[in-house]
Amino acid sequence: MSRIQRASLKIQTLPVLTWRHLQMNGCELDVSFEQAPFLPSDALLALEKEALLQRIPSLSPEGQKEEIRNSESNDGDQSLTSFVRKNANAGYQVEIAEGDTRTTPLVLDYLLDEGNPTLIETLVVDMQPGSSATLIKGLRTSSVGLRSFHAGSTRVHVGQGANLTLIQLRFLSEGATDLDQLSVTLGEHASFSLVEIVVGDAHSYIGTHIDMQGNASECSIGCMNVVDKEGSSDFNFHVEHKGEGTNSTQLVRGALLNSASKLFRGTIDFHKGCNKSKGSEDEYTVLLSPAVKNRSVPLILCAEEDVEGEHAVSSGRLDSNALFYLTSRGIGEKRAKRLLVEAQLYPILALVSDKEVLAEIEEQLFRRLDSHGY
Amino acid sequence: MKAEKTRFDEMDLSRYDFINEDEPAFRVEKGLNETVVRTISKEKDEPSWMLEHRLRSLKTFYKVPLPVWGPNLDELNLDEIITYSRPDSGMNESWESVPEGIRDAFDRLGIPEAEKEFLGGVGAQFDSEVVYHKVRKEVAGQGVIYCDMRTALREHEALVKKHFMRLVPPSDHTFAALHGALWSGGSFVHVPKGVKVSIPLQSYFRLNAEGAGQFEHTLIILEPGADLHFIEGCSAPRYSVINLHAGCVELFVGEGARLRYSTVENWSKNMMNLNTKRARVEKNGSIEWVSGSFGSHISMLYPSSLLVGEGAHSEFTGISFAGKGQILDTGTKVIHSSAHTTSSVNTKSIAKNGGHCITRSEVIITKAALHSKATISCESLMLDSESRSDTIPAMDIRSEDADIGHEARIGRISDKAIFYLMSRGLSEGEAKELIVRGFAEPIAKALPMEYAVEMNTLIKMEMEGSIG
Repeated sequence: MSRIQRASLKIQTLPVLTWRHLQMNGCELDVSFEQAPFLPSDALLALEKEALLQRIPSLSPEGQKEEIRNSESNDGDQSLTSFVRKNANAGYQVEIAEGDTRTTPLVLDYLLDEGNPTLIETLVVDMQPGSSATLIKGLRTSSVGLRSFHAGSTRVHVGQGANLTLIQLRFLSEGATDLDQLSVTLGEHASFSLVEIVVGDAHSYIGTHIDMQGNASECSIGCMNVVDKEGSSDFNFHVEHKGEGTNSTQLVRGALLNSASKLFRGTIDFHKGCNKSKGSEDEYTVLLSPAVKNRSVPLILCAEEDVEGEHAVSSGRLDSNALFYLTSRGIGEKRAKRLLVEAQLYPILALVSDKEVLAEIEEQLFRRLDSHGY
Repeated sequence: MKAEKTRFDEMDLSRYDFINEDEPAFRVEKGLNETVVRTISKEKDEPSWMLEHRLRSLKTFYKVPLPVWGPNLDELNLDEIITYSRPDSGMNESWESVPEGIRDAFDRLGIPEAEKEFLGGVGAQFDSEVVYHKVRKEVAGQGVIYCDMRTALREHEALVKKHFMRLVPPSDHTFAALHGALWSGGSFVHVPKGVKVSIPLQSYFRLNAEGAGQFEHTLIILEPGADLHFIEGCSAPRYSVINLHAGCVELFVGEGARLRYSTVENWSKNMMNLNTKRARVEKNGSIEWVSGSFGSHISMLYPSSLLVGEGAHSEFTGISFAGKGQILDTGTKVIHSSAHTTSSVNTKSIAKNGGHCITRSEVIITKAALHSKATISCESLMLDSESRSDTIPAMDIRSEDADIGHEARIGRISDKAIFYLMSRGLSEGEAKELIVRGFAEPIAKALPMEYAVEMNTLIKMEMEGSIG
């Protein structure tokens, strides 16, 4: 028997606060969701059968590796983690053994549909030293207007010299609420790449916390957000440089259509002792409608002298000179506009090497752009 | 052998750090209550509307909470602050009439000399009251009014009433409310339509009393087409107890007018500097903020520009230098609320010896601000790993047709640059000082020569130390 549950959550808190009237310090959300079991798809069941995925018998952190527990306690958004632990209806653990190099991506696809409108899931990824893998996690809704709810808590540890690429796809429609917290710890010489793709008109709140404990660890975040209608995307990326010689990049590209809104919080946080570390953030949003709202708060926090940090944020319409140039070369206006939007988003699309995944992103993207004459 | 790092010593503050031992003619008891507020108003023989304003502000103060963001202000105990201290001097129009002790203080600060050389008018405030105000004949002859606020309230009451705390209402934040209740002193400037004042005016605020507060109010009104450069200076001797500065600056820049507002602030390092500055800029008007923050224990200072008229422009050029025991939380706010408005923000910060620089900014582009442009640039320099530097910019864009660009950088002095300069015969200390001065160059260039020299001297004093 299903029933409606309600909860108040405090999420997406900035590591250092700014003026209250800007309403960028965090979100206080009242959510309601239908409590019901989530039935895994055949594809997920197949992965379970092959022992590539293991259901988590207990969602509590006890019994899990110390690094994983640490990632949870440091994630800065306890209320979402606690909420997920209390209400989870799905949970998996992925462990890649020491030295194991996976060439085929592991794909976790979740579909929210009328039978499964609620997904509250946890995912634990343990990359043991020297291992390497790509994990693709997809979230989709089956139909426009379906009232659906997703809350996720993903905890990742990338061990010494290990390498993980995590591609998260969010193709969620109007009526969907999507809350997510990713917490990652990196060991020495570990490398972590996150590609975050958001195309849709849902309300998404995406928190990512990267703890670069290991010396010479590397992290790159590439994020594309294309938001339509009354949809909103709210990001809170927090990268903490703790080890020496750590290197991070955040590259964010977006397009806002219709009455969509976006809030990007991006923090590069240099701790004392992270000598020779470098961090950069680069965000650009193209504004494609007069009713959009575009907000950014890119922070650099620094307690170490011997570091280099930089960020750049910009936004604006499509470049009219470039548009004129393209049309003067015989390209139709619609095609020229499409080319210019694609050019802005291309740096993120280029991070996706899987052709099938790329084709799906482009299909979702072009459908949105088409409907607005781009 | 491990090379010893360069050490930067604390600044020699002797030029600013001297105490005038003269007893004030009158001061209120410590703390804040309605009696104190009524006493201040009575002392000044104010009109009843001003007393009512003060009492309303006091009520607001008790309602508005302290900010939850920014530096911790727990050290500030208003029960220990003397909020009004009147020196034993009236208002004077010649330095000879100013009591000797107070005159000596301003002499040491170089104010009369600067007045003779390059200022069109000077106001000098000592603790809670202005003791000297004078404007050059040629400036007065243009119809410019430059006087202390007490005189303005008496002689230009309608103008004051129309503008006073309209840009910074007491409900804005805790210290605006506190200011509304306790304000005393400050300067009033009115520049008539089309008048261009070719030489700067300057007000200097000296807080001498131990454990005291200073709450001066500066109100500048530029009528359409007017042009003015106004300079504000401030300092205080160092005490072991907390002093408080919660002044307020309101600037009204008329259509096509241009105002440059320059500040080189060097409060002592026991000062809480919680000042509010705001400008309203009409069509095609321009406000230029030039701000150097070197002193204080804690500063929270964000000059704001409201670009309300089409084509209005704002420029903010600021530097802050935080040393031991200092938290300088500074920056700016710009609100574009009309079409074709433009703004540029250029901030620099330097942190050393455990100092903490926080550079905060806010740029809002409203729906009406079509074809507007804003550029923001923040650069921070860390001189050691005991210090801290945070950059917290925020942008809120509600118009599709606006171009916004923000960039920030943080880092240390480049080893290559030091090596190059040392290979050209400079010592390590000289090389670093030269690089820091180069870093501050855009701000120095925006100041009149004499103040650029003053700022470079402050930087030099901050940078001087033994080189290992």
